[in-house]
Parts: sequence; structure tokens; C-alpha cells
Amino acid sequence: MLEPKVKTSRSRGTVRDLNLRLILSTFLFVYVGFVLMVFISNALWLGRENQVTHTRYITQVIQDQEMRDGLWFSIKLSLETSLITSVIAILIAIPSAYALSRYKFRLFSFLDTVIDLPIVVPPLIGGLALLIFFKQSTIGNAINNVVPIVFTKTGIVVAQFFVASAFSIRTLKATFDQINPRFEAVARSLGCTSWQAMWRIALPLAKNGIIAGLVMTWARALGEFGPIMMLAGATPGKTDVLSVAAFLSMSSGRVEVSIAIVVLMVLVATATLITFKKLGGQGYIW
Amino acid sequence: MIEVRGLGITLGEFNLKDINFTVLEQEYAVILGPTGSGKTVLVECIVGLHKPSHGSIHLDGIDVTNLKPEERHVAYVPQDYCLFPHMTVKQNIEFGMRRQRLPENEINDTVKKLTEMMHIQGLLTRHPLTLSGGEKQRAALCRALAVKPRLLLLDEPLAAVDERTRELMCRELKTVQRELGTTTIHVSHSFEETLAVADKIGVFERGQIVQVGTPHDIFRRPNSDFVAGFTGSENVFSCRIDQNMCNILNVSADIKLRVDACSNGDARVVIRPEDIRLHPAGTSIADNSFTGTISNVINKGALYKILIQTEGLEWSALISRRECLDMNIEEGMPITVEAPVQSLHVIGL
Amino acid sequence: MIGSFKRICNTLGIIAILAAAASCNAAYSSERVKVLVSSELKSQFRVIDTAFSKKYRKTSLDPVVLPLKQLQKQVNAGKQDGIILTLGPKDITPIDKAGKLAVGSQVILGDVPLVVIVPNKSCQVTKGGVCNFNALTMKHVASIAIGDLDSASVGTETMNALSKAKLWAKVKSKTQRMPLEKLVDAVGSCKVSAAIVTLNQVTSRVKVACYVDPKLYEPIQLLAVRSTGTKITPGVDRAIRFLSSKAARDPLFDTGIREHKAIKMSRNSLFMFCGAGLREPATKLINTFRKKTGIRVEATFTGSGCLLAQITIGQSGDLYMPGEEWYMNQAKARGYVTDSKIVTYFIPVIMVQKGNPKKIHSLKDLLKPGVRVGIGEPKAAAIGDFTPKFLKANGVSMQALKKNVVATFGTAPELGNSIKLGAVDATIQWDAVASWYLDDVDVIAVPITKKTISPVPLGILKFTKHRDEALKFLEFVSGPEGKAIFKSAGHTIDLAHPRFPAQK
Repeated sequence: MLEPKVKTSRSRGTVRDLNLRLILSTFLFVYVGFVLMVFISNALWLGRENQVTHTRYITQVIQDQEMRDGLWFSIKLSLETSLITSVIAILIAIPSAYALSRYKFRLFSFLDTVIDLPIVVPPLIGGLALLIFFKQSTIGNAINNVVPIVFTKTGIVVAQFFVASAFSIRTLKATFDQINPRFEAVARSLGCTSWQAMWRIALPLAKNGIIAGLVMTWARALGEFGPIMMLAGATPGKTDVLSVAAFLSMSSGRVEVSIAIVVLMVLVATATLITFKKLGGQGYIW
Repeated sequence: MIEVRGLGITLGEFNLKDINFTVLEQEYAVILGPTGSGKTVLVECIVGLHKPSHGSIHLDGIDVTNLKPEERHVAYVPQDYCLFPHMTVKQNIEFGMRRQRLPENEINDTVKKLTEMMHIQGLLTRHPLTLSGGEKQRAALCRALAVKPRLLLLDEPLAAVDERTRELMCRELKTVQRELGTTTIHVSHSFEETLAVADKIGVFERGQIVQVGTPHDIFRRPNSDFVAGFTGSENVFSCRIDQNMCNILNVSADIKLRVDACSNGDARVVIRPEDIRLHPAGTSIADNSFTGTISNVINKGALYKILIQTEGLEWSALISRRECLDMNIEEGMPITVEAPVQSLHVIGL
Repeated sequence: MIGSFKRICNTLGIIAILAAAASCNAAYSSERVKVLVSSELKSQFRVIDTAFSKKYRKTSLDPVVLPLKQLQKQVNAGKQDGIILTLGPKDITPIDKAGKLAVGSQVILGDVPLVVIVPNKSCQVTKGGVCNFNALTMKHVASIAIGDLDSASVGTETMNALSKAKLWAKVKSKTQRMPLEKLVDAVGSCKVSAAIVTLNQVTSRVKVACYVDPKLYEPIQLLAVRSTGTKITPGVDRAIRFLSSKAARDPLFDTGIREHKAIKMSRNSLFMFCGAGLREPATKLINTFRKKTGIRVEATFTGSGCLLAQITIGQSGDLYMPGEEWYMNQAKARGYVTDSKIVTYFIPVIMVQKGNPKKIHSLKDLLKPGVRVGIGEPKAAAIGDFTPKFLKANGVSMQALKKNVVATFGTAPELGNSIKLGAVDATIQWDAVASWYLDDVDVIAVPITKKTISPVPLGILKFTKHRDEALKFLEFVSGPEGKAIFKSAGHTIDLAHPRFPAQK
């Protein structure tokens, strides 16, 4: 049989590959570049001067003692609430996702859909829905009477949880789907109860997924604004997480503070993401 | 020992019906069947992962049908071995013993003994991801045998392994099993590898066991077309048996062969390719011979497969390279085919 | 590569934050803050000073201890200035009358209860105990001493208590008046059987027989105020903030000062729904109100419409201050509001870029071609709703303006930000909001008419559980102090003197 004519020149084959690589990488770098440019331009704007007082915007922000105290409070509150939300979300997501992944449910697609609903609904409307639940329904009202949620710090966690927990469940379900159930079958044949099989085999193998879920949930919870405003209120010194603080500054015309918060959030987020990645080890399923 | 009585279960597209078989103490049984026939489902039922809708399973006389997997004492080595990736080899092997809360020195002794038997004592601190296929299989075996199970289940243990290693492993498996005396069920889709190890073979087709017997039985006396085809008996023809004479149907010229049959009637006749003897054309052989034309010569390395056409039937013969050269086998040449009586087997009477 | 780049950014960020923090500390310089202490409060001052110096190492409190009368005289004469530590409120009335008290600088550190003291050893004069206030009338209480009229709060309140308890007539004859400082001595040396003093004066020579029922008198408070002549240096600022904090109040307990009643109540503070555009004045009002009465108000700031939704669904809260009357009317129509008052005004003005490059001097100039105008969204922002009325009252048609409108904004602050960031050339904005941006914009005012002012109301919600306190707040905000605060935040409170007077 005759072999079809093939361009055997090795160098030409490599060049074609390089073109494809260049083109695809360009997409990547354009996107990353765009994101970086947006944030860096904000940081640079702070270095500009206020025309009348001839102080730089950044100095204006730093020298205002009250604003500094307020921002420091907001940072602490943001980190505290988002971390609490992430931990609670993961603790609930692990068993839920395990069940969803390993067991057959007749209403599987229904459950699946409901889990994603809080993400699909616009955040502000989600907050409104929560407010109505806790104040206007019998069950919600009863809960709110025992544990004050509306217009309190607890409300921040509830609002963040409502919109961000779906990320935990999704990530963990994908993680457990990827773990071969045969591992647990072998463990059981060797004498593990189903509890032990989950605890000793499935969970350690899901470590990366758990961290990925934590990161995603935390990131979403930190950046959330609408539901927090509706359910917990925008009360400075009590419920103003960073996103709400930015809104309040904007509403007072203190644009420079909001920009400072933007830069601050990017720094805080970068630091935390790097920490999480170090803990996560091999890298995560996104 | 394990007894499966009347087991039936439907799982997705797999439908197991009325499975009955017994594996005696220290026996090495093989369940042989094509992919998709439901062998893995059967294994999982025995492990305890599925509840059968009918029938029962008895281990050492105890009815375990309703027991959970961790209570059955059945060790399971799945395909791809499933060594726990987040533990070292040593931790894997110890796993079952630690669940039983055995004393530390007993655990260490068992680990030492088993790993030395399998020659993997140097791998104890390694992680499964870094091991080769053969090393993984041995480690998985050690893990299963460490708990001294009532029954060892191996699901296609040799599927992911190359030819040469397969042979070595087969021998090793058999040696270890004999030494430890563990009742074993080995599931496979390749009859060649199982010939060497099995004490007993059960052939599985579409959810049912169709023949149980020694390798010799399965090999030489298949009880159906399917078993014959599956075990490599390619020459299966319809015929009519009359007074120990077999008339092969659908042939214009008469091919009459003498057979050992218990009665008369319509049946199928089988002969293995390697049992067919070829002689140069024109040689007269007394019994059971006929002429044909060579249609194809296939080189299989040490052996040659010769396809012979005789008036609408295709016979397949397997001869050594030496024989091939001696007879100057070539496509298109006439050849005399001999089918010895002792090699002919009748199905269906 | 991205990884190390991220690491560099991260490190730079941390360095920046640390540098900022360090520069803050460097901004401190050491300072001595003068504190005028009424002589009966020496131990109270000592306790506060210890706590203060623990927190601030570079600032120190410099006490000048004077008897109350002298202190009042010297401050009124302008001879002394600083933070004044005294009992009140009656003790500072003379200084207040002389106009020497800085408005809104008052901090309540606690309540001082009135108690009845008896000698701590058995003497001739005490033949029986005084187990309650009424026991003062009994025969075995031979003589009673109370503070004289110079001792202001203590003296007056003691009289009030005795009168209210209907005991004065019975004990008049055996009661003698003496200066505050002498009361404890008199009892300690058995010269009198009992005296009525404040808890902070109790020493080991006497013991507390009983507390006077607080319902019988107006509370006496431990106060810190600032005299008008005091310069507000960073040190003074720090001192005032410290005095307003829990760190100053807690250690005072051991010196006989009790938690101020209103502070106790404020564990359930008032909750106010406040329009986002009113944040600056609202925060000042809340802080001043708290310093003055100890009552805490928490406020949440969003768009007025959103607030109404939260009130409707939540069916709770104490106060509502929307940016426009229209929202208050809505709330009233739903029956949510019991009392309301107009507290300030919003008047529309024109905001333009600094330097007025497009030379806009009147509303008609906004119609010039090439002028990019931003306005508020009619349905979302109060200013947006008001703009057409404003234009009509000044003879400009909305239709004509629309040609130049390049963008509409959902809230007043967004409108202001758009000029500051250069997105538009001119906007029609509330004067108070415009005043936030004076560093970056110019304001062109238009003559005011009745139709062009928008009153801002503050209302009490029917769901409130603290109606008295809410009323107090309403009075405060609609009163002269509240108005002053609105004015300082750039609002027009007096229509005769608008924030931005129109040029002739």
C-alpha cells in the first residue's frame, strides 16, 4: 500500500504548534491583563491629589482616624462572618454532597435544582425573600424570636450562607462523584462499617475538594452585598462588612474610601487565596 | 466454603437468574464470561453490596444473605486493585487487621509474612501511585489475605497486565492460594489465563451459569455453542448423528465422521483447532478425513492458524511453524484434513 | 510566573498596610490635657487617669482640683479652660448659662446614687439602725445633716427626695445644712446620727444604711464636659473619646459610680431606618445624642424606598428618616407612623465641574448643545422625582432638557459621584449632597421658591417599644441642636439663609 504524502519536516510541525499556543495564550493573557488593569487603575487613582486640599486621596483616607477605625472593624467583621459561613457551609455540605453522590433518590433532579436556586435568584431579591421568611412566616418568625437574625450580625452569616452554600455542595458533590465508590466497598469488605468507610476513606480522599469548596464559598460570602443589606441592614459599626462599608462610603460621596476598600479587598483576597492554596496542596477542582 | 442458591437480582441492565454454584474449602474457582455478562454484579452480591431479590448465599454453612459486608469476612480485590491512595502500602495491608483491633505484634508479623511471600517487603513505605501494575496487585492481595477471610474474591485481576507478567502472576496466585489455603473465586473473561489456575470453572452467559466443570471439561466438552466459542473451539457444525456416525449438514459432498455419541438425533459437533491434523493432499487416512482447500494462513507467532474451506464449511486448524514449513503450506493448496474420533465432541444430545 | 507575581503583590500590600499603621502611630506627639476636677471627685479622677494612661502613653491628663463654686467662677470668668469633671446636671447649669459650655460635648460617665450614711462605730447618737429612708423620722435618729444649697445637685436632690417621700416636715427640725465636704466628717465623728450624701463620698468612717429610692429624685450624674475656650487638640479629642467609652466607665464602679440608667436601657437601643443620602448628619446626630443622653441609636442606611420595604416586611423599628416627604406619606398611609416632624430641607442646585468649564450659570444654560447632563432616576431617587417639578417652577421644560441628558442615576450620591469622576458636565442635585463634593465641584444656585424645596421628615414608627426615648430623639433632632448639626453637614435649615445663596 502507498503511504499518503506527509510533511515530515519536524521543524514545520513545531511552528504550527507554536501558532496555536500563541493564539490560545493570548486569550488567557488578555483576560488576566484586563482584570489586573482594572484593579491597578483603582490603586493608582488613590495616589492622585484632591484639587482643593492638595492631599492625596490615599492620605485623606489613612489620616481619618474615625474612618480607619471603621475600616478596621469592617475588615474584622468581613473576615469573621465569611469564615464562619464557610465553615458552617462545608460542615453541612459534606454529608449532603455525600448523600447526593452516593445514594439514589427518586427526587434527585428536584433536589439538585433546589440546591442551585439561591445562586440563580438575584442577590437583592434573595435578601428580600429571607427578610419575608424571618418576619412574615410563622416558622421564620419563631426562629427569629429565639435567635435574633433580622438586622443583627447573625443575619450577616445567614444571608451569606443562603447564597454561598450552594458552591460548597456543588464542589463537594463533584469531588465525591470522582472518588471511586469501590474504595469504600473494599474498605467495607475489610471490616469497616459504612460510617467508618466514609470517615476513613471518602473524606481523606476528598480533602482537596473540601478546601476548594471552602475557598469558593468564602470568596462568594466575602463579596456578597445585597442579601446582607436587606436582611442584616447597613448599620455602621454593627453590620457593615467591607462590601456594605463600600456602599455606605459611596452613598456619602466619599468615593476615595470606597476605592480604598476595593484595593483592600483585593489584597485581603489575594493573601487568603494564597494561604488556602498552600493548604490545599496539589491544587483544586474548580 | 461458599454456596450460592438460586440467586437472582436485577440491577440496571444486568439480570441475574437462578445462580447456583458451590465452591469447596480451599478450592480455586473461576467464573468465566464475556464482558457485560453480569460477573461483577454477582461478585458484588457475594461481597454484600447489593441485596438479591431471590436466593441465598451461605459461607461456611452460615446464611450471610442478610449480613452487611463488614460482617461477612469476604475479602474483595476489585479491578484496578483500589489500593487506598492516601495511605502507604503498609497502612493498606494493615487496614483490615486494624479494624479488627488485633495486637500490634500480630499485625506486624502478618504483614511481614505476607509481603515476603509476595516479594514486596521493600515497598512498604511507598504510596500506591508510585507502584507498577504487578506491585499493586500483590499489595492488594496482601491486603485481602491479611484478614484471613473466609473467601477471596478477585475481579479480573489480570486484565490490566501484559502477557508475560500475566503468566508469572497466574503462577504466583496459585502458589499463594495453595500455601494459605484460602477459598478463592477468580472472575475473568479470558479462558487462557484461567486454565492454569482453576480447580473449577463456571461459565457465565447473560446472567446465568451455563456450565460448571473442571478446566478439562469446559475445554474439551463444552455443552453449548457459546461455551465452545468462548473457549476457543471454533469448529462447531450442525450434524445428524446416526449410530455413532455424524453427518455434517449443509455440505454437498458427504463428510461423515465417526463419533462417540450416546444417542441419535440432530446435534452439533465440535473439534478444537489444535486437534485437527493436516496431511498433504492425496495422503489416504483411514478414518475421519476429508479434503479441503487452504483459504488463509495466519501467523500467530509460535503457531500458525490455517483456515480450510470444504464445500461451504470453514475449518480452522492450529499447527506449529515446523509443520507448516514441512508441508509447504500455502494459500490455495489442497490439503487433507483429519478429525480424530477422540477429539470430536457432541453437543446437544 | 503568575504565582511569584502574586506573591510580590501580596508582599507589597502587606508592607503598605504596615507602613500605614506605623505612620499612624508616628502621628502622635505627647500632650498634656487639662482636666478641671470638682474637689469631691478626686478619687474618681484618679481611677480614670490610671485607666487612661494605660491606654495612651503619650497623652497625659493634667488635673486642676477646685471646689465646685470656685471652679464654676473661674470657668465663667474665662480663667480656666479644659475638660470639666463634675456632678450634674444641675452643677453645670451656671456654666451653661454663662455660655461657656461647648454644645454637645457632654459625656455621661454614670449615675451617682443618694444614700443615707450612719457612723461606722457605735456612738451616743445612734441607738438604733436606719434600715430605710422613712426611718429617718424615728426618734432614735437624733440629728440629720444634708448638703447646703451651694452643693447644687446633691443639696437640691436631697430636698426633692425628702419632700417627695413626705418626710421633710417631720425631720425639718432636726436637720442641719452644711457644706458637702463636711457631711461625711460630721457623721464619722458622731456629731450627727445620719446624713444624706452621694455614694462616691462614702469613706471607711461611715457606713451606708440604705439607698434612697431613685424614684424620689432626679438622677445625679457624673459628667465630663468641655468648656468653649478649650482648643480641640488630638489629645483633647482622645480624652473625650476615652471618657465616652466603656474603658472609662467600668473602673468607676468601685468608687461609687453606678451605670447610667439610659445606658442600661440601651442594650436595646433605638433602631432607625435612614436614607443613604442623610448618612453624614445622621451619624453626627446619633453620636451627639448618645453623649448627651446616653441613649444609643443604631441606623441602617439604604435607599428610602428599600427602607420602606424593610419596614413593611419587618414590622419593627423605632424611627424612619427618608430622603423625601413622599416616602413618609407612603408610610403614614400604611399606618406605620405615629409622630413626625420636618427636620431639614433639601434644595436642588446645579453641580458643575470645578472651574465651570462649560460656563453654566442658570438652568437655561443646561440646554446648551454639548452639555452632558446627569439627573436622578424619577422612580428611584428622590431628586429624580423632584427634578421635573424643579425645572417647571423655573420655566424650563423637562422635554427640552432630555436632549442633553446622557445618564440617569438611582441615588443622590451616585449622581454626585458622576460629576466628581467626570462622567457628566452638570447635574441637578440636592444642596446638602452637593456640599460633600465642594473640593471637586462648583455649585450654581437658583433662587428658592415654595415649589422648589423638599422637606426631610423624621418619624416615629408605631412598632417602637421605646416611645419615650424615640420622642426624645425626635425633639433633639428637630430642635436647635439638631438643626445646628444639619447645618454643619451642609444642609439648609433656614429658608431665609440657604446653604448656597443664589447669585443676583
